[in-house]
Amino acid sequence: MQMPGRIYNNSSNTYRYGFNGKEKDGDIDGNNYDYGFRIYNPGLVRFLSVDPLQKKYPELTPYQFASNCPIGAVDLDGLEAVWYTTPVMFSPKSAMIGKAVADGVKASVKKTWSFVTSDMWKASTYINAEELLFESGVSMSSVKVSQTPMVNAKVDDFIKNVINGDIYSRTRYISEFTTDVLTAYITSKGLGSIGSFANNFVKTNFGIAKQSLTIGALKGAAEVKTGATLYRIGTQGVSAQGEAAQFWSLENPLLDPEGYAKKYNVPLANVKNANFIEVATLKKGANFVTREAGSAPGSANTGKGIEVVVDKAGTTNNKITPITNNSQ
Amino acid sequence: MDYQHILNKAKDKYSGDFDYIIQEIENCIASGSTGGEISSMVGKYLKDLKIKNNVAYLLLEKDIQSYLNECKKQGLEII
Repeated sequence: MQMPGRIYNNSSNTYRYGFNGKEKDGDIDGNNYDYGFRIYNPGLVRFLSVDPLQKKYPELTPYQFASNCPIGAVDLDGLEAVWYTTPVMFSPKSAMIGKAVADGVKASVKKTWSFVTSDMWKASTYINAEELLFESGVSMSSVKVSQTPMVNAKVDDFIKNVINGDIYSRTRYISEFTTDVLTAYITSKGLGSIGSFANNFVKTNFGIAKQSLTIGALKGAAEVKTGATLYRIGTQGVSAQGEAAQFWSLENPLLDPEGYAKKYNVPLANVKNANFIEVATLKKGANFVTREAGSAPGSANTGKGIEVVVDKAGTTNNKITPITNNSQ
Repeated sequence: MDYQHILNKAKDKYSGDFDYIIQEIENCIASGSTGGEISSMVGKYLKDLKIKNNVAYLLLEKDIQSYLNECKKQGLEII
């Protein structure tokens, strides 16, 4: 709608510029535009002379305007098209590549998310990127015999999509692969601190106790870090106490002596005959490891109880309570 | 091989001549609060036998080595 009082009147035909801001050229029929290198005729929708760059674009007619894409591009000076939007939206081939890239990224993110959320703690046991890459199904450098079918499937996938595939499947595969690698790399960096924790060990009076990487042990480590109560039972004058005590459990032995003996792989008599129980928490900054108590093959003891091994003097808030009539 | 098995082996080999060793192993077992602590104490005691009582150690050497290897597999390296 025309705004009152704001009227453009070019009746004198003094304004010299038109379509694309190019200067009108009236030398031939008064309806051409001077694009610099060539003269454009909007009635013909063509330039009147051949493109000086025609050898560079054999797929285009030498008289075309803006590579025959007048919606997405303009012709700057009669030579080449200048895109005002990404050509992905306008070239069928480019659009297919764009979709392939997007689909590949989506597939990778979906796969990684599914992996991470399936067992968050499992992810924390992966120390380096290579292992995570393998779990994501893209690494072939750490192949083990039992994992050969998985690798074969990846090779088949590669042949199908990259060697024998079309431009869509090829681009999609590369996009997914690249995203997998980047995700694995970033994730491994994020898990670096956990990785170093997984290599942790504690020097005891008897040797070295190493961190176990079972899910139970890692969960136990998280509990210890957040202030879980540590327990141990024993006999006064014989069993270690206080600063000398290094082996602790995460469960109170007196609540279920039989269950404790099985889980922590100790003789039931140790619990029944104990004459003290000690509780404590980890001292701030103290080194520790968590591990399954362990059991012999065929043993009635499960040995799945998580014991905590701390540095000497690695506990605080220690409280020793005598036990009376424990065996009754 | 866990601490109970090595105790049984020790009873077979040491009864009569080295009863005190059997008693010491039983003391190690009785004083532990967790399986790892017991395994470590028993392992350390048996390993030290090489210096403290080499005759006794040689009688049970293979079993002791097997026990220590099992400890190592479970993340307890006896030094």
